[in-house]
Amino acid sequence: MPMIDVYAAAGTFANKHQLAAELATAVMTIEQAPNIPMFRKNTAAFVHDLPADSLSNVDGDITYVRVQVLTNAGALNRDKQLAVVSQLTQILAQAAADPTLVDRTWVLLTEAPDGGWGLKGHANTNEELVAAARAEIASLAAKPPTQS
Amino acid sequence: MPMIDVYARADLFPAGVDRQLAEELTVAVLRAEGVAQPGPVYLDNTAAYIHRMDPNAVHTATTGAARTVRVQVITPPAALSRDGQKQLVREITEIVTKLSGDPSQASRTWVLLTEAAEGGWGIAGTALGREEFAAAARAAASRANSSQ
Repeated sequence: MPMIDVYAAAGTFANKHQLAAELATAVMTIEQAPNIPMFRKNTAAFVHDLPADSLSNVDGDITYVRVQVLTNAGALNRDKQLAVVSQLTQILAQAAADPTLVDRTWVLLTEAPDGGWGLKGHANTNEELVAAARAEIASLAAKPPTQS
Repeated sequence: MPMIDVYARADLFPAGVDRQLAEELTVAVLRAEGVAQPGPVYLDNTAAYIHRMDPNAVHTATTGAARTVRVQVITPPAALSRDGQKQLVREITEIVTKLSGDPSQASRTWVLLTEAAEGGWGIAGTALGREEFAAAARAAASRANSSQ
């Protein structure tokens, strides 16, 4: 249930809501999390527009994008880390309609400590998250499928 | 190649100092990492984001619209030695205090040092870990030697 934050100069992305949804979907897919409401509803992206004078690298450039991805501890193995950085970078370059943005995109993967994933008022351990997901899968399986 | 976030109420720093603040902070963090003469890869990929906030959005436990500053630094794992940590917190606090124009600002300045997960430093679409950083450093060194 990662949280994704994107920081960029205002105007970099035309459709921020679509970008946020695409980033969240990509990370959930790479995590191989079960496709259940608990994960779909609680994997989210936030796009932060910054005024042009509010970001800079040492050289003074502002055309860089930073993405921070926060997961529960150990959620991404090495293959999943490589996939998250690669796919999020591609999605951002497409959303900005600028293929060269790939070279100016930082993706930083960070983790909450085990026990520090708060949802519905409870600080969940990894074990508790797995148990909650299993319970939801079991409860969905017990219900008759709803018509759509 | 750290990332630095500064959070403060909008009027804490005078108008027009953002670039100086960003430059001094980014150079300070490279110094603390022990990068004596940073090349373009370091200079382009060390960045600061200055978040000027609505004064009513900044509070301490006792004070509304507080004149506090929070600086968060994210580095690859173990980029800072204990001495580097101490130097960086001291220098960031000095820079913030100087540019705020308020000598008492040091006592209301928090510097929080955080680290990406091992393997989770993504640039140009690749999630870098210790091995990849070491290989990149060796490649840069061999390029520098061959160009002499």
